[in-house]
Order: sequence, then C-alpha cells, then structure tokens
Amino acid sequence: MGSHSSGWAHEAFAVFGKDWLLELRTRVALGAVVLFAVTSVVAAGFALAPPSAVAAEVKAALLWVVLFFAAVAGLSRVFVVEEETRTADALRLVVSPAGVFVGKLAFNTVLMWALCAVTVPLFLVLMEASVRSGGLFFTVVLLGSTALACATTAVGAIVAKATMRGALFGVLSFPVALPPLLVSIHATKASWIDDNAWRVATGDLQVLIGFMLVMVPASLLVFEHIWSD
Amino acid sequence: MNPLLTYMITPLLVWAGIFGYLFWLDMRVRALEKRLDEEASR
Amino acid sequence: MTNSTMGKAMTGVWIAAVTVAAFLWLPPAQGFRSPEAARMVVFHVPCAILTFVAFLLNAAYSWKYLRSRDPLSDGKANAAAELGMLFAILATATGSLFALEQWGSAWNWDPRETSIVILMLVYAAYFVLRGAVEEKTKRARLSAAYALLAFPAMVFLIWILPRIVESLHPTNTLFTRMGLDVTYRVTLWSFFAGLLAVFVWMFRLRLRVEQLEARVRRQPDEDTTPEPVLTGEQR
Repeated sequence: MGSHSSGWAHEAFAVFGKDWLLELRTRVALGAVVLFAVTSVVAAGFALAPPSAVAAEVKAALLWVVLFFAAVAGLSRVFVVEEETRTADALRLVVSPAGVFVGKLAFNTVLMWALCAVTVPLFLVLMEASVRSGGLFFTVVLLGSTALACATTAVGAIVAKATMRGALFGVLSFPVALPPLLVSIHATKASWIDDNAWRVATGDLQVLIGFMLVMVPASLLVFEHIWSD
Repeated sequence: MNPLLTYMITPLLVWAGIFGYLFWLDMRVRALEKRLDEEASR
Repeated sequence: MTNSTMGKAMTGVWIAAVTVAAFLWLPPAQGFRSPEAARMVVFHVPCAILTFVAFLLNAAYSWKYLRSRDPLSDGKANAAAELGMLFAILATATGSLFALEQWGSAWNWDPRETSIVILMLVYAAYFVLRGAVEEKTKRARLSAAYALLAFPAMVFLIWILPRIVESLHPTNTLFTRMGLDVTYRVTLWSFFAGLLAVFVWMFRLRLRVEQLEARVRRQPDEDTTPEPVLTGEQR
C-alpha cells in the first residue's frame, strides 16, 4: 500500500472526480439536497408572507437553517454509498486515508456550493431580502457552506458504520456545525442591513476560517483511526 | 423560622439523599466484588 | 488506591458544612438584585467547571482509546461523559434559578448559557451514538472519534463566541481581586473541592460497576439473574 506523501493530493482528486462523475450521472444527492432546500424556502415564503414584515435576523437564521438541513439531507450518504456498493474495501486498498477523506470533503464542499447557488438566489427573491454588502454576503455564503462541509464530512464517516444513519447524522452533526452556523447567520445579517458590514463581520469571518483550519486536520486525524478497520 | 434556614434545608436534604445513595451503591459494589473474588478463588 | 470509607464520609460532612456556611456564615452579596439568591453562585460555578472538566476527560480518554485500543480507556471516556451530563444538568438548573432571581427570566440565550445547552446536546449525541452501535470495539472506536470531533467544535463555541457577542456572564470574577468578594470566593472554592472529591468517587464507582458487569458476564451460565442480589452474608 503505497503512501507517497505527494500522492494523496492526486488520490483525493481521483476520489473527488469519481464521486462527481457518479453524481452527475445519477444526480441523487443533488436532487435530494436541492429539492429539500427549494421546498423549505417556498414553504417559508408562503407561511411568512408578506416577507417585509419579517426581521432581517429571522431571515438570516432561516436561510442558514435551510442550508444546514439540506446539507444533512444530502451529505449523510457520502460514505454510506461506499459501504453499500462494497467499494469501500477497494478504496481502502488503493487509496490512502488522507486521499479518501480529502476527496470526499471536496465532493461535499462542491455539493454545498451547488446547493447555495440554487437556494440563495431563490431565498433572496422569495423572502425579499435586499443585500447591502454583496461582496461580504458572497464571502459569508462561500466560507460558511465550506465550513458546514468541513464540519459534517467526518461525522458522515462515523455514521456510515452505525445503524439508523439518517437520524443519527443530523443529531451528531448539529453540535459540530453550530459554531459556523451561528457566525454565518450573524455575518449574513450584517451583510444585509449593517452600515459598516465588513468591520462588524470581521470576527465572524475569522471564526469561520479558524474553524476550518482546526476541524480539517482534526477530522483527518480521527478519520484515519476509523477508516482502516 | 428564619427564611434562610428554609432555603438551606432543601439543598442539605438533596445532598443527604445523593450521598446516602452513593454510599449504599458503594457498599453493594464492594460486596459484589468480594463475592466474585471468593467465587473465583474457589 | 485510596478507597477509604473515612474519606467518603468526610466528603459528605464537608459538603454539608460548606452548604450550611453558604447560608449562615456568608453575608448576602452586595450589587446583586437579590443578594440572598446570589449564594447560588457558590453551587452553580463548581458544577459548571466540573462539567467542562468532564468533557476534557472524555476527550482525553477518547484520544487514549484510539491510540491504545484499551477498553478501559473507553470505559473511562464513557464514565466521564455520564458525569459531564449530570453536572451540566445541575449547572443549568442552578444557573436558571439564579437567572430567574437576578434578571427576571430563567433563560436568556447568553453565549455561556447557549454553550452549556450545546454541550448537553453533544453528550446526548454521544450516548445516542453509543446506543446505535452494538459491537463493543466498534462502539468504542466510533464514540471516541465523535468525541474528538466535538471537542474542537465546543472549544470554538465556549471560548470564542462570548468574545464576539455581548454576554450576561461576567468574566474574571473568580481569580482577580475585583469581582466576587473574598468570602464568596472562599466558599465557592471550598464547595468545589468537596464536589471534586464527589466527582472522583462517582467516576471510580462507575468504573467498578462496569468492571463488575464484565466479570459477571464472563461467569458460567448457572447464575443468570440479571440483577445480582446480596445474599444472606451481606445483610
């Protein structure tokens, strides 16, 4: 089992490529995720009409709650499919743990970005949320969704080996995803209504980046211990 | 009665209950360990 | 290994004594809306400290388990989590009662309050995960992995969020000269010492129970009563 240290990046890319090839063919995860998000946004829009009566904090929280639950709906299967199709063992033989993990993380991240690309514009339109600081908002969505992917990928690996995976994934992910969720909501609200938005949100962005810098190595460390057993 | 005494009695009773339970559990565990040890050495 | 009955009895007396002192010796606190209720601080803070200590222990034993695969470490991690949950509940209860007196409402979504709730969610998730995995080594491995993921996430929640958002909780009252009056600090840390002794006692007791269960399971089939019962000699 070769473990060339520069090899894991290539391996990660290969895993990522394979997963996305499969995904584009079947569109299962994308479908589940987007369908969930669109349904939630439409339901919220309908229930809260007229949206102008809803405070910005509430809308910001709603957006990220929808994104989180869509993530739970879509990201839980990323390791489960390997177990189900029995390709997990093949992966273990051929690819280093780091390669597998980073590949899956990259897959989840792009999935989150795709989710946001569909959900966020829809949300802004249906909830009549006007964005004052577009650059900040884009940054928050980008970083926040990536942070959510970072928080949930390793949890997915843990859950793949247990029973009751769907419900378990949500329960386990929530506390881990909460720090990026909270600051994303705060920064989103700032980007929508605050004057000095970038200054208000600086702390939030720092937390997001710091969170990812801590969780990815921690996840990798944990993953190596549970993957090869 | 001094109201402070009333406020104090409740935590004391709670603690008495907890402590009593822990002590009893400790005794039972100890007895069981002793019994298992005796059975093992038979 | 000190397992003395004397030590435990003394702990019982110590805690009772500190409790009495908190009411009869300690003066009502100035600067609080309900000076009498402020005594609650003496009980609330040690519980909160111990629940985080337990969380640290859980993470440490989880890491130890992943490295050594020693089932004892897994048992210790689990015991720590159980105690952590217990003290988190106690901290939340005492904190809510105090908040009710001090600020008029039992819950305020202040960052520290929120992080204790999330900590309880983490413990709950940990137990749910353990419940969902049948096989012992797998259970140990997966729950240790989760504990090590939840730990940095909680570090963020606890240390970083209150610095970004305004908080009802004061900082620096326990160690510095400003803040709590010395009588309160003495009582608080005295209670903490006693509570720590109780923590260690319960931790060891929990481990002994687990080891007993393992020994009973290894017994031959004749003794199949699920709950071992004390027979004549121990009455």
